[in-house]
Amino acid sequence: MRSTHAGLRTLGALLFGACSGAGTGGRAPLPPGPGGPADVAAVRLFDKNDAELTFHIPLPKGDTVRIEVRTYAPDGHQITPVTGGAEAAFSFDPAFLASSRPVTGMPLFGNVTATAPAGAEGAMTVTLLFLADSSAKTFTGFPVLVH
Amino acid sequence: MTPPAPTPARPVDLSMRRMGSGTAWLPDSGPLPGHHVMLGDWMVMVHYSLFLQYIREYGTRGAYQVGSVNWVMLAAAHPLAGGALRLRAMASAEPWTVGARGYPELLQVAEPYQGDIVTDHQHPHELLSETAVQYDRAVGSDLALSIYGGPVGEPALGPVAYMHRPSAEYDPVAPLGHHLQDVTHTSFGVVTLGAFTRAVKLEGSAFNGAHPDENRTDFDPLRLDSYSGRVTVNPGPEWSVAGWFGHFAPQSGAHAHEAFDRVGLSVIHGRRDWSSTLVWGANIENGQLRNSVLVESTRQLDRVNAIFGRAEYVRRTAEELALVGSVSPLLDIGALTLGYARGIGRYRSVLVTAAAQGAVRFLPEELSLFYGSRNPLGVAISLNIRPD
Repeated sequence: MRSTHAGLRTLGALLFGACSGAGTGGRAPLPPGPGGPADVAAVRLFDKNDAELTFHIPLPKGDTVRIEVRTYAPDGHQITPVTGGAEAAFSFDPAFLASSRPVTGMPLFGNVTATAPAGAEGAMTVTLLFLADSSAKTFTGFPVLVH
Repeated sequence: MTPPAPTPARPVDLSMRRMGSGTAWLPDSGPLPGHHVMLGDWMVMVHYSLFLQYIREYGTRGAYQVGSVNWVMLAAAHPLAGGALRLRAMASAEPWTVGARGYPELLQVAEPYQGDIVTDHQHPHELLSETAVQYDRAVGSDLALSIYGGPVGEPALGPVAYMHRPSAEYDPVAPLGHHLQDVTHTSFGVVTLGAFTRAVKLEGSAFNGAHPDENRTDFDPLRLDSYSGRVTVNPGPEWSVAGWFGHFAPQSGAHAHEAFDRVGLSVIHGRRDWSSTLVWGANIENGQLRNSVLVESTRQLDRVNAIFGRAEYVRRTAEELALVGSVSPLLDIGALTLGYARGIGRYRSVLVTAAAQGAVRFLPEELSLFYGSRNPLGVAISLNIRPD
């Protein structure tokens, strides 16, 4: 009987234990929280209106788009702030696709201007420099299209 | 088992057992669940499946949920002008019973929701996933024509949708390849024309290629912007083989995509006690095939016990996992699910079944950071109520 109870406890722990999310309704959105450079596993990109640009960055020819980089942990929760601070730099493939300039006082933002003709497409790379330990992480393959 | 009820006049005398989802065919020798009654000249069929399930997914992106996957389908047939008129409707309470975000399923396609992205969940079914009319009429001794359409229904594209496959009857969880295979089973705007004999059916559809929006309780705007064709062959009573091609128009909005094509093939084998399905489904995106393969089977060991399983291979995009920029653009994943089901009660013609299942996934190394290992696990236990 004792081993039966232990078995049931083990089964209960397996099924219900260590649940980090909500009950019925599945995992609730995880709240943002601070984290170190090692915790940053992914980034997502947003414009000034909070619209997500991660899956497609449209660059109107002649206009400048301000892009914000948000950092995320492997479980999907946003890391903010990154301990010690972080700076984002953008680059493009092909290089003539667009150019970017940092935004003063906003290290995770960049102003991006299309330099290729409308219809040109390519990809943007985000490099994060972590000031706490001078390490860097690169995230590449964000699709760009000049309109 | 409910004895088959008398049926209305049917062109080329096809078995009711062939009725899968939409206009897709099942084998003639499979089970025929559902309650059948005659109301005057109308033959009415009610089919349903109500799960109460606990799903637990493990790992970094794991979650758990107690919820209910469920659906009910009504079909009413009536002789009309030498043919058969069929009214069809299908409904689900899942927008409330699994919530708008859906139920946990690791590696399922991420979906937009309220301005954010929900990962590793399978979306709920629409409140109304079919309201359609079908009319079949013989035009010769062995040939019939068919027209099917409605504000929401299933085009001639893909296999019999997974919820309607006997090979998946005890499994409440959607296949990982759902979005490459049978996701169009709910399309807001469908017209299908078909011609069929006892063994072969040719169909062509115009349909709305837009993915349903995140509001699962309304009708989305109706369009016919995409098209598809399907050939189905039932060479014998235990087999149904289908092949399809579809073209999807570009879409904007939360589910924006460029134009793409979809191809696939399914082989369904059905007997009263053993049903199996093989599906290959692929998108042709930028000239390249993105494949998915599914094999699933349910074996009824006796009147009480059954075992079931599903093995899958899917090529995911980083976008589908909401990991653009962080992992390779395309990722090959696998999954294996095995389960056991036991009938625990029969009440008149209603069967109550309890089941338990476990799943293991097979991921590339670069995904282990996000899922906690290369082989994240999941379990589900469920009760199911459906017609016997």
